[in-house]
Amino acid sequence: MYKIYFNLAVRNLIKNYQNTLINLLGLSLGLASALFIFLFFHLETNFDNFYKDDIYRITHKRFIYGDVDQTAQAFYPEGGTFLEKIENINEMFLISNPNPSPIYILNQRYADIKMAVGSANYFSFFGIKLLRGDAEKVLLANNSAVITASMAEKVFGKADPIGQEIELYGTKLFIEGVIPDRPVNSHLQFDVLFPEKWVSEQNGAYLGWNGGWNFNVYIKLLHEDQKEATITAMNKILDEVYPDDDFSVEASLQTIESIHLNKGLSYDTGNPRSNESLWIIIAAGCIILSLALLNFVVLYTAQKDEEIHSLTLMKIYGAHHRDLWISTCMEVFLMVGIAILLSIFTLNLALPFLNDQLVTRVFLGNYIPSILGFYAIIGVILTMVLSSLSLRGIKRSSLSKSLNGQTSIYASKGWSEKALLVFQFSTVFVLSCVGITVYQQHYHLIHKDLGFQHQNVFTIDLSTVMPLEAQKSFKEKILKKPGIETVSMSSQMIGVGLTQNGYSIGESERSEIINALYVSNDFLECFDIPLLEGENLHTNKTISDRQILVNEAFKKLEGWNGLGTIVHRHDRDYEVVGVIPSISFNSLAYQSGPLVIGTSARVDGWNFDYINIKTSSKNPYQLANEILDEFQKDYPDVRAFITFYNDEIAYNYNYIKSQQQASFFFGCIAILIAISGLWGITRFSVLKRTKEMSIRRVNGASRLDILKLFNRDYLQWISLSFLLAMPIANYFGNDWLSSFPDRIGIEYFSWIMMGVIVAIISIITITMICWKIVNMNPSEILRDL
Amino acid sequence: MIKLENVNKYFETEEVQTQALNNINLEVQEGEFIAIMGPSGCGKSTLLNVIGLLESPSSGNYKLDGEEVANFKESQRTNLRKGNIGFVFQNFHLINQLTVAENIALPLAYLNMSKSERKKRIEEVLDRLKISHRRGHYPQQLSGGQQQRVGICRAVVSNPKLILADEPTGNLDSKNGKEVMELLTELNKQGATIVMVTHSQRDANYAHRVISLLDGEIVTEVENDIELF
Repeated sequence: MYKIYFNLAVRNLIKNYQNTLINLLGLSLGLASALFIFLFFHLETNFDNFYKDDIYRITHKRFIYGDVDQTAQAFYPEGGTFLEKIENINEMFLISNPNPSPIYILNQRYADIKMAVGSANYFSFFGIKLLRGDAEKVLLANNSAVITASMAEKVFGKADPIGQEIELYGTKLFIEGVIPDRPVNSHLQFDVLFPEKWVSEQNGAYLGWNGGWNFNVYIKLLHEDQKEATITAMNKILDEVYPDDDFSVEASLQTIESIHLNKGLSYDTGNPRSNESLWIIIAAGCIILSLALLNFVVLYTAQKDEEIHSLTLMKIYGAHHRDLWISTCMEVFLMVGIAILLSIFTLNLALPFLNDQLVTRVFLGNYIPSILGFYAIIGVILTMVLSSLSLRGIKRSSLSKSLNGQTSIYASKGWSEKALLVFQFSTVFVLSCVGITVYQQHYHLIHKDLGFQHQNVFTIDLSTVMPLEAQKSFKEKILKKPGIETVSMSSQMIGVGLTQNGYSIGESERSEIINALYVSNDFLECFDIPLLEGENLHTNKTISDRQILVNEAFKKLEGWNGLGTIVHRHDRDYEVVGVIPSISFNSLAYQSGPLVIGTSARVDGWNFDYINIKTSSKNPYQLANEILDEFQKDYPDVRAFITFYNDEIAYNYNYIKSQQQASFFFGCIAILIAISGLWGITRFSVLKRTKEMSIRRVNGASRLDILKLFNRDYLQWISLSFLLAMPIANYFGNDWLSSFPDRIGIEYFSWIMMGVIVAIISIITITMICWKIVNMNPSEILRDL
Repeated sequence: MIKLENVNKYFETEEVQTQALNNINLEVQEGEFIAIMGPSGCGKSTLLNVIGLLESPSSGNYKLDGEEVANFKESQRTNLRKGNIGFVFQNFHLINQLTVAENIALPLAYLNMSKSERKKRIEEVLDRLKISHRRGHYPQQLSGGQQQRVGICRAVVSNPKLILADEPTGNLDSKNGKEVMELLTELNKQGATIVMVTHSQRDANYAHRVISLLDGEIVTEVENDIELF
């Protein structure tokens, strides 16, 4: 008996190969989405839950002249002071934000290795055992470092990493230990950890209570029930440190498990995720899953209509309903089983992209038992539900009716197929329209005039300090090369964000946080930045160490009194001698506020770390490499690499590009499912209405009339989907755009065009399916029915 | 074997009620070959469906082998049909996705029969109806006559006491139709009780008794001069 069921199942799938393929495609995508949601949710809600002790991180509210900045970052002395003065704090560990820093290992440059400065008690604090090295000794010397096992293998291969050298900003660190890779669900991810003592040796490093280096401070409490008292004690200390109302800090504690799902702290470590982001991704996955499942249910039950005859015969010859159910279960299970295998394969292919775009770290290999359990549950549920749904018509109808084709499982009025169409196409339109808006905003930001010229400007990024005279000498040398227009030096790159300093202006006692940039005399010329007022910086016209330029935004600050206004910082006075337009020195995702441009880099503890070169060469990349080769030849001890401003500015918006790609990715999957659903629904509709079409043809309807009839039927529902989707897409589009100070308005015309394209694809799909039937001789069809 | 008393059958839609069978009283003896005739829509097939337990009568009594079955539930009817009633249809009603042998095996699949016994029965019936060479073919690869042979094989493979045939020659040419009728006669001679619905007077002549229906009522019963086996 079961062999017959199995044979029937296999042959049914082969016979209905078009539906089988459509169903498998949709179901695989749906199951892949379901698996991804399951693993994503599992990972994201289980961060840092593997520590034995209760660990807290100190968070802060910094009140600065009425503004509030919420951050986990603490100035260097805070952790040590708390540990020393508050009895209930048992242990303390501090670590800087792990960030990719350009380092050199075995003379090779690595730009993507995450480096962090941390205190030496890392291993005891978090209960981590070293794979190599002595936990009691590592990170005690200024130049020691530990490296993760995977990074050690990546950069050293099979060679012993212990004792190997890492060059960071011109200083040398030696690897003393190897630690296991941190679990993927740890918010604290780094490749190399080196001691906090290293910082104090750096030129100009500030380790006081008023800025400079920032750290994440983690603590363990002696008595958990005294947590509130501990917070009070911390704030009492902070009140003593910051007695001034203009700048005060309020501390609080967050458990280590809650860090990941608590986005909103400035300069937070790792990639914290907001609850909103978590649920949006889960919702997107659920929508795709429900689209696929609905598609499967409707198409499979429609397909089952054609099998009523076989099932009825089985029943006539002695099969109970239970037997039919087992037979159908076998067929569904076969299909679900194939879909499960395909979904694992599909998800495995898509995971690198999804992890990248959604900033997560889901890996199938980490969850094999969970995946098996998940698929077992979802497979059984799907099989049972679908089998029961598919047989509901058979159970109700009489055998003689079923045998004579008078029973229909598939909804006779077609409401389920219409609801499915509307749901599927509404989803397609929402995702696509939001995707278009994200694309347009990204395009706008990339092509926006930033107020300075950055085409064909590249920079030699110096990883080690280079004497100013050497820089000038190199500048003079390369200026003679053909294709080089201007060369200037700067402390940082404009267009990607600048450091902020505290200044007071004129007679005002108010301290302002202002962006600062140190440049050489050719800087404005190099970037075609005009001067609106005052003296220009020019090769032949320099300004003194005590003179500065400001931008137009600066003029709105309290204390501004025109050119000649005096700006104070660290007991030094600077005279404003010129005003430039408000260029976008930050990413356009943020406001670019007031700016101060000075020339006294060394005086203020800065270096010119960037040699900016404007070229008219037709092959700037080749020229840049030639110049870098020449530079390395002349200055072999200085670590340097080339960066193009265009590339670096575009990098500002990579996260938008990710959102755009994710949006289009989900949009494409939705379109794929929707069109396959349309294909299946139309096909069954055509089969059901073959007689009607033939009678229409016999009575004078042309082929075009029949095609119009079918297309009109479905297009009106697709149009309704578009109308329903517009307000939803409009809400989400505007909500997303509102986070940008510089944003486009929604271009509804492009949304309409999107609707037209989807309608054309739908017309082609419907026409292709109807084509064979409308071209058949209607009398033959009627005779065969 | 079959005793119908005052059997009525109504079909209802939202707006109309149609009476398909009107006060039917009919007795069929074991080993008898009955033909039911009448114009289209007179209730022939409905009567056959009631006798075959595919439909329940709306009212009246139906005794099969002395047991009252009119109010049987679906599962009871299924159990009673299993192995006891064979069906032959005008449109053959073979399952296109199963081979000839698999189609014939269908009634045996629900009889808890050993695999060897099933195989033996299938081979016997294939040989008897001379279509052994087609056992691995699918229905769509067979002629109409061959398909009806398979249908008959399926109807008799479980050795049922009762064979119900609904216009078994309706889709066949005269040659194949004659062959099928001879097969049914042969089966009847071997002890099977046969109730056949037909439009054809020629086919009806093979039966012992011909019952004519009109508007759901039995209007005549004519006995043919054929010896009851």
